This record gives sequence, C-alpha cells and structure tokens, in this order.
Amino acid sequence: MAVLAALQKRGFQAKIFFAWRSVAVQLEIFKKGHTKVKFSFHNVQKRDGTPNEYAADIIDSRYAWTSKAQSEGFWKALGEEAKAQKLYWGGDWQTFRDWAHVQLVDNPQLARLKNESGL
Amino acid sequence: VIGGILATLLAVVGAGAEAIPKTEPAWLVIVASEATPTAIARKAKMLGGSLPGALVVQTHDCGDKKNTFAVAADIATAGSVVSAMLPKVRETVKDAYVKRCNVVPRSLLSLRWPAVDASIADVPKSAVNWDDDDRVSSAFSLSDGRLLIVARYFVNQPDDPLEGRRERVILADASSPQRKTLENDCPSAGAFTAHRGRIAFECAREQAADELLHSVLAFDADGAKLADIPHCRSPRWSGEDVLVCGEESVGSDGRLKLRAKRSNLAGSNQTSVPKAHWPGGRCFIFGEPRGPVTARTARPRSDRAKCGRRSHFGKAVIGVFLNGRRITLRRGHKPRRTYDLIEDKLLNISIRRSLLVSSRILIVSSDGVFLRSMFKSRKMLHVALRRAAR
Repeated sequence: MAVLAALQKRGFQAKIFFAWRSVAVQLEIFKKGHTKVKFSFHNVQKRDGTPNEYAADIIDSRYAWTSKAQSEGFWKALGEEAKAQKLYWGGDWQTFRDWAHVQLVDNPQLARLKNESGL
Repeated sequence: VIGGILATLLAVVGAGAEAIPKTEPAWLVIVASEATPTAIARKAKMLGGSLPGALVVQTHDCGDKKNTFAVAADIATAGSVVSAMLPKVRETVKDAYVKRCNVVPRSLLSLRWPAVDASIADVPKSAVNWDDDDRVSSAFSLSDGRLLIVARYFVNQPDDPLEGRRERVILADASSPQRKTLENDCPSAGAFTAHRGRIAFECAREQAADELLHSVLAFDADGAKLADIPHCRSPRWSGEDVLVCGEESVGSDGRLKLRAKRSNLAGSNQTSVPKAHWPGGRCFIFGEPRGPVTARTARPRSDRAKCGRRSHFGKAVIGVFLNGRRITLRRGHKPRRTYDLIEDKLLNISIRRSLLVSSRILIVSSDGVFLRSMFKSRKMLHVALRRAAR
C-alpha cells in the first residue's frame, strides 16, 4: 500500500493488477504457454490453502504494459518506490523482465515457499 | 569429367525417386543409460573424466519408439570399427555394449550434438520450475535444409527468475561441422523461419499480466544479426527484404493485442561475395527462376560481380542448378538433363545454387551469398554426393 501511495503522490494512477492466484490457475496459464513458471510468488498459500500473498503486479491504469509505461517513467518510479519499501522488483531481472512485478523476498526463497505452501 | 559426374548424379539421385530422407547407420558404444535427462546428465558428469568425448544421446534419434537417454563413449559408422573400440571402452566401463542405431536425419545425433547439455547435471534438486523439457535440447529443420539447434542449459545464478534455465540457438548444417551461435539466451525459442538464407525467430523476453512478450531476431545467411525487434512475435518474411511480425501490447484489462509490424531489412543486408579465387575461367550464376526449374526454363545469366573480383572461371561450365525438387545439369548454355531431386539428400549439403567448373564447385545461395567452395577434385565431389545420397 505504501508503494501505491508513493506512486500516486508522484502523479501516477497506480493500481494492483493482481496479487494472488491459485496454483491451478497458474498451471492453466502455463499450459497455454503464457508464462515460464508453474509456481511463482503469486501462488504462495498457507498449509490450509488460504492465499498468502508474497507478490503483486502494479500498473498505471492509463499505460498498463504499453510502451507508455516506460516512456512516461512509470516503471522506473515503481522500481524506486518498491526498493524504498525493501521489496524486490521484476524490472531488475535482466534475463527476463517482469516490469510490473514486486515481491517480498528474493528469488532463491521460492523453493522454501513452495514447500511451506504444502505443494 | 562430365560423364563421371553425370553417372554419379544419376546413381545418387535416381529419376522420379520419392523424397524420403535416409537414416544413417551407426554403432554406439553405450556406457550408461537412464530414463530421465537429469539422471543421464549426472552419470555423464561422473564418467566425463574417464571418457572424454562421450556424447549424451536420446534413443528417439535412433528411431526408437520408447525414448531413453544414454551416454555413448564412441560412435562409429561401421560395425567393424566399433568392435575394435569396445574392448578399450570396457577397460573403463565393464558392461559397455554396442547399440545399432539408424540415426534419424536432422536429429541432434546426426549432428553429433548432445541431447542433454553437461550443465544440466548442476541444476539444483530444489529447483521449482524445471521440467524435463527444459533439460533436453532439440533440432529444428529450416525450409532451406539447414538446422537450428536449441541447446537447453543451466547457468548458476541464484537470483535468476528462471532459476538458471537458458536456451541457446545455434545454426547448423548437416554437411559441415561448423556451428554458429545466433543467440545465447532465448527463452521459449520458436517460430523459426528462413527465406533466401536469412533466418528469423522469436524469444520470450518479458512477462506482462498473463502474457509473454517476445523479441524477434533476424540474421543473414552467415549468421550475422540483422535486427532485434522488441515486443514482436511470429515472424514471417514478405517479399525480398521485409520481415513482418505481430507487435505486442497488453492493456489495463490484461489482454494482448497484436498488430502487424513491418521491418525493412534492406539496409541491413550483409550479402557477401565469393572470396575464393578460381583461376582460368568464367563465372555463371543462374537467374532466379519463375516457376519450376526444368531444362527448358532454367536460363543462366552471367554475373561476374557476384562471383568476386578475382574470380575467373573456365569456359567449360556445368551448372548444377538446384531448386526444390529439380536438378538441371548444363554445359555452357545447353541444358543436358533434368532430374527429379531427392530433396533432403542435396539440401543436406546446403546446395541451393551451384556452379561446377571443371571438377570444382562453387556454392552460392539464391541471394548470392557465398556459402562455401569445396570439392576441389572430382573424387571429392563424388564422395560428397554419395554421402548426401545416403
């Protein structure tokens, strides 16, 4: 929420596009070839299956993922505000960018979180 | 010379034959076999020190219906040779055995390329998003007969969002041991297309909502990069120099929109001229055919410029004109014979347009890009043609 507030203060119309989805939904997207991962920080859950959000995709509702998000400085601002809150930003991943993505912990934690999710 | 070449071509081509690629007989000295790519990579790593040069193969490449993975310490194309190899290998691996294999044309094994990269042995057991498909390399045939290898490998970068999954795209030619890396890191490499020697394909570069965004890469016949078009997918060639792809955009509803994007690569043309020196002769490059090439329709045109400044060809010219399934042999301007071509055989050695001068051959692609000179004797040409015909 602090990231959203900071972005709005900078004049952006920031919103959370989505934060959590089930592994079943993730697998459907994976099978369609629309993602590279079957389990991500968006799929973390508690042992009883209730959502346990570790990540969110944040966009400016005017630009979304169009080239304007870059040219209007939204991605850069998102990265700055996310890191100010000690979050990890997908725009820093040079091999495979995920500009809108922020997460609570770094990538090597994924295996642990999958295990803790009971999956 | 002419009679010998005609006889050879008649023998290897065979009028009216069907285009059925033939398998290559081989004998593999197997030192390990496993059901999974992970297990075979680890076995190969263990054996690597004692058996340098061993190759990880998959038995699909031998035409086997059930696929397994194996480490081949040696590969021979004659049974007698492999019999001599086996005792030496058994000094290291006692239960090594010989597997007879009909190597599938245009497979990784036919290129002697490992089905599983050595780095796969180092993928952490805790990896979450690695599948077997991410561990096995593959080969794709281009319409011009060349191949692209997608070599899947691992890099140890703990903070990597793809857990070190990588795909390298390599240009290969069945007739040559040379390999050219086109792109070192191309996730979900695909949509391969070739036109007049040029190659284009897509790589997934970004995630946007529930969609992957791609880049389209284009290369000339020599593998030099012509273009890198971000946020585009599904490339196709249009006309001489235009590459069309679907420009990607994802809106606030998360939906992907595609719009045709045309990129003119004319200014990026890296066409080169032959560098080989052919003393004492005259050069012919055959004109672009309209419709099927036959003895009647194939018309040669002289184009000294494209043969290179220093090229001089002899008067006695036989053009070996290859296009699709037709082959026309000419001497000077007189068509001699036209044969049906067993496409795969000759495409395997990447001949698309050839000039045969005495007993030498100059191979030039349809857009004038010099591919290679070889067959410096009639004997070598015959050997190559026989090999292509296998």
